[in-house]
Amino acid sequence: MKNIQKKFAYIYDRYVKKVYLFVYLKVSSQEIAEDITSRVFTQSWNKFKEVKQLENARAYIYRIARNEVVNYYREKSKLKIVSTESIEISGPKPEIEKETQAKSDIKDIKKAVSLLKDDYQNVVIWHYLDDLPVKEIAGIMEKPEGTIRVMLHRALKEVRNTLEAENSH
Amino acid sequence: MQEYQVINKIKKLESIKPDKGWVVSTKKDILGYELDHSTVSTLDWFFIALKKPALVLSVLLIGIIIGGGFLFSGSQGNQPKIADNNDMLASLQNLEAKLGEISLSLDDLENAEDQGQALVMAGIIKSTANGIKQTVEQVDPNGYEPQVLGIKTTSDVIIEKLDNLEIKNIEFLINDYKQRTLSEDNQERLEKLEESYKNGDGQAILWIQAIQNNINNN
Repeated sequence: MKNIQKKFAYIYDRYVKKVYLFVYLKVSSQEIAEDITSRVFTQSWNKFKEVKQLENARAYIYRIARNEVVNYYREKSKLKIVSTESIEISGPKPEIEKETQAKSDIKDIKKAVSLLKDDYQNVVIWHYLDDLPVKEIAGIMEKPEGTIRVMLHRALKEVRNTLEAENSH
Repeated sequence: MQEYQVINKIKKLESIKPDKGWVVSTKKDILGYELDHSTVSTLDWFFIALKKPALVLSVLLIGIIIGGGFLFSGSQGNQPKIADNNDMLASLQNLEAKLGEISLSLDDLENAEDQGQALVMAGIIKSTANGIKQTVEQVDPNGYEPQVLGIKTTSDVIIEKLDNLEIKNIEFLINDYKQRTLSEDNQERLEKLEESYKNGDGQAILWIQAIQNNINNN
């Protein structure tokens, strides 16, 4: 394998699970998440072959992932992802969900995160599931760090409210 | 509900993972090199076992390599003797697949709760990957070029990842120990640990083990 493939293999190994999770939480379908994630890495690989190096691979890959998710909803005329209104989880039940259904709290939290508006979902996933520092998220989203912190705070509050409302039923 | 409780719940979403077969086949599709994903699930046990003692993990790792069917039956000088060509091809394919799986699963090692044990495992896997690479380098690649190349490259990727993991974990543990109230003995070990790490003499992990054992036993 050429050196460039080796380098990209490293990037793939490092980020594929994270990107899949990011996409999956937005589309709630294993099949669609696999399809989109695959396209994200194919595009990244094409770019990588061209430029031989990515300055910040993670940020670059996440930008593509965001665009691909937006494109998916645009194509499907499901603009829920950019809506600030409540979102219902839809689409076929993925295999992975069968495993997690036993744990109702995972199901609840998944739903609560899915109900967040797109930008809030992004910051929550990146910061708490991918351990991205606020500074890096600010770079990806091209927003000031203070704005990201406020978004995180508000997102957590919304998630908490949703979970508490679920529990009170 | 407190904020940390919400965060803990969110972190549970990490349990959602892609199908390993899909991960391997997609990598193959994109990069165009062979990985036999029929054996993909076999290493789950290895990483599940990260919460078990290091000895068990070492045995598992040895079992994986032996179980991989690497069928060198002896050696003549520097040239390993192989049972036959079909066995050789099957063994190389199997080994390549297993290495690919280890490489993909290293994230689990990075996220292991016990960073000291993760370091020990990293050392074992790294020396195994090094050993495999050196052995494969002795094989006449004629007829097995893709497999030999794949094994060497994947070994390199694993070694590089583990080097990064070692740096990250050692630095984390040094900072962690500095914030603790250590016994006099452990304080001395910490100083030696820092010195070893600075000198890169490979002893740092041993000092971490010594500190960890002492903390666990008291």
